[in-house]
Amino acid sequence: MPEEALPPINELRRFVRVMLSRAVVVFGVIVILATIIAAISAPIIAPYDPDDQILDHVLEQPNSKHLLGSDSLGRDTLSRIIFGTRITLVVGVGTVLIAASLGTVIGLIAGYFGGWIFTIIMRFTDGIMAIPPLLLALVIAALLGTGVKGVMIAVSFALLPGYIRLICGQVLSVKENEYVMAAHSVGVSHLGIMFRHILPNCFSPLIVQMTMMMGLAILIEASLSFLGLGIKPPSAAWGSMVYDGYKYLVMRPILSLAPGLAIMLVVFAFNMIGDGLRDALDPRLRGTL
Amino acid sequence: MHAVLVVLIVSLLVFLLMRLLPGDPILMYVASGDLQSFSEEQVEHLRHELGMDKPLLLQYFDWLINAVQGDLGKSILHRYDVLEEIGNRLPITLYIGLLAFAIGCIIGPLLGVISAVRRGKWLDNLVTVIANVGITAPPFWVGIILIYLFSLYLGLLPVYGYTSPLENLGRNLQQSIMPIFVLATFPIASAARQTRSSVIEVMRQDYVRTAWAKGLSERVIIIRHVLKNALIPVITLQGMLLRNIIGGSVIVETVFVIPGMGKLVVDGMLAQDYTVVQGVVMVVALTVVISNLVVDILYGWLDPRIQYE
Repeated sequence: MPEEALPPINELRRFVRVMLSRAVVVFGVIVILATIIAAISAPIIAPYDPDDQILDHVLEQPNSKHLLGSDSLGRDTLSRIIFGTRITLVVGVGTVLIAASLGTVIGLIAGYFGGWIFTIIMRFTDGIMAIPPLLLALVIAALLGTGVKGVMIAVSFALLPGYIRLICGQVLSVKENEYVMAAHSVGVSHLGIMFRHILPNCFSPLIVQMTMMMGLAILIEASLSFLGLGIKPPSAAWGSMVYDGYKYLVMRPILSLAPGLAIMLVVFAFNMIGDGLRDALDPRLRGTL
Repeated sequence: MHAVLVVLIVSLLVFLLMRLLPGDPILMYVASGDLQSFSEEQVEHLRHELGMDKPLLLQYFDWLINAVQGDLGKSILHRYDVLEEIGNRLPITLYIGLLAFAIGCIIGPLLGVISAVRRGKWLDNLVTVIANVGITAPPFWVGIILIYLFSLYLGLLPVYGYTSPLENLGRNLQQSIMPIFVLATFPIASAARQTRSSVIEVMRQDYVRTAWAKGLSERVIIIRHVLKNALIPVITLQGMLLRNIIGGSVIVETVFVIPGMGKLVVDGMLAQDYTVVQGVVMVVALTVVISNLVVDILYGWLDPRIQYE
């Protein structure tokens, strides 16, 4: 393997080169960067306050004042989409971080200790997985009440079993390695082995899965909001904007089309970045790309 | 055995979830009707009547024993029999869901194979773009776009509603074609992606090179040597897709106003009607577990190296 002889800096370069070799991945990175910038600078770049009801500008066609028109309460669609990036990113990134960290710890424990601990954890995971993620999130969100917190708990829980499975599977194969046995024999503690020796070897698939799941998390949140069981108006959530616009589909299709397109663009971008990361991190592809 | 255990765990999870989280269905029921004059005692009496004053574990076993005997209880709000209502609605959800699933199972892998065989050509690029759009488009939004395009703009299809195929097949198809397409979008797209990458991987194998070297035609190689091996990961995916289709029915039935399981559970949830939600989630989980069993059997048939004890 020629790669092993190369200094680490080239490894990073290789990563960036492979990752950005496809135009769609670059596109994904640009879209996410733009979304982050929009979320941070929303009050500056948005032409109107997203909750401002200008009652003599109700249901306007897209025009020079309202680039994407205005809704039934006279709120500017473009401004609401720009502010909607905040909820989208917070829920998408936040839920994945929660689910991934919890799932990693549980999966590590299940895979490392094995035996009855493994059996109990994995049976429960199978049980949760038998319920479609959207339905599960729906039930939890409905019970916790609508709002960002409830939705985040609901979506995290729906994503959790995927991470437990992934990490557990990785741990089962990694722990057979000789260096794990070596660590045991020199008296490294269970925690030390789990976090210092096993976990770092699970990172590549974990990172890929996390990126892919951000898209899914955003889709679930949007679906919950669309059904009225997610983030409630007046908060600018893209899913509930699509639902609000649905009522005026005949007159102003743009009210539904624009926020839906925004959801799709962000989900697409996260998926493409995930694809790119997988190509760049997959050791089997090393040398071929 | 494993499947039974999973169903039991689901029942426990669902039960605990419904009871441990906030919200009191009895109070909701009292507040919703013209029962607002109910005294404290009358509320307690109602609670007792519904068995909701017993310890949690006892309530669970009561519910479980009844459920096994085919009694999922009555709707707290509307007093209808939950199993009977599910019986009325499940066929509608399955009708649309299974048609969508079948379409996804056929078109998805077909697109994937075409794409893999013509790798790098315009057809491959086209399929890849369609597949990527298909897995990212929010289903409720696709539904709305279809309604706008085909119902409102072109006036070709009815906006929403549902008619039984036994009653009026033509009208049923007109009403179902858009919901079916919306549900099939994700399965088509993800099956196409998965098939494409696994076909490409199998085509690199030595035995495929051998088949080429023997001078077999492309058709024989693809069908006899590549497909059977490449389909194994796709079959695993299909099990997951069926689960998603059932989950997706929640969205599709709301957008197109179809009186199926999805609509039932959303209505139940908005009204905090525990027994309805519990019943629906249990039936859904049962469906998923059964479909996973089918996938496992298919798996063993496709790849004899996989054995089950």
